[in-house]
Amino acid sequence: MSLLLYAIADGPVDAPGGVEGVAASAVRAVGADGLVALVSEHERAPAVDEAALWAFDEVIESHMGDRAVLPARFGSMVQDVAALQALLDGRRVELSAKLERVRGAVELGVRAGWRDLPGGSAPDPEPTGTAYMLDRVARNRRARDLAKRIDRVLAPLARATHCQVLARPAVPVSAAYLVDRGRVGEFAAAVVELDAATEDAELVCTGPWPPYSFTEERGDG
Amino acid sequence: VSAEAATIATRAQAARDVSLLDLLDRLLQGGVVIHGDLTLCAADIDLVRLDLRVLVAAIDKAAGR
Repeated sequence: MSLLLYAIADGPVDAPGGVEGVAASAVRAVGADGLVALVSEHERAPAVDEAALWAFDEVIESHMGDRAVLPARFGSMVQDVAALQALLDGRRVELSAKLERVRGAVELGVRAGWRDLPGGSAPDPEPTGTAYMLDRVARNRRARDLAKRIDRVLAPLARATHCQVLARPAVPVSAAYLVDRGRVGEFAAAVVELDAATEDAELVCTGPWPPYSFTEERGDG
Repeated sequence: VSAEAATIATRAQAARDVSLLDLLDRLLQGGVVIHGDLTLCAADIDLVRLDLRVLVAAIDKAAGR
């Protein structure tokens, strides 16, 4: 029987079972001294599908309202309670510092999509190698420019940012912002305003998410 | 089903698809790695299909304007 890890959180957690875990499992808290791990027991690795991903997220979200949570990478399984407690003890200082970094904040996502094709014309169905490379360079430059325009407005409203340019071909900019809870409304309104003012791209704000993109030092901005 | 209800349903699906992509990015790339081996993986999730669904939803939305 191994443990699927959802998150590290401030302890104690008195009643972690309010929301079912992956594969309708019961969620419980392991740990002491102010640092707990939210886990569920599984005889074998649960099936991975859309329902499992949402269930994983819902467990973490159900706890982020009243405590700092540090989401685990999806798929983290630990052998047993003893192994998990050893991990918590061994990394207590590091995990506590990471919890402090996200305390009182949530993650908001901003995803951009072009309102039309880059360049405003239909792509050549059979481009030459040079035309293909020039088009690729132009798309990349345009996406980076969009990312700068977005970040210039939204970064001042956030504690930290993590921005990806062209992570997928249809998504020029995908950014995450660590935002104080008290500024979520202000941030969302700023995205709506920026969307209206951005002629070439539409912006969608998602969240609040647990701070998935801010569990490591990367991406501070 | 009225046109308005259909539009709302399309928008809800588009929002869900965008959220699912965001969720996938976060769960698979983000989060603290507590130890080296991840014994579960989401290889079964068809990322390409998801991308296409979002693209189709965006096109539908644009065509409705």
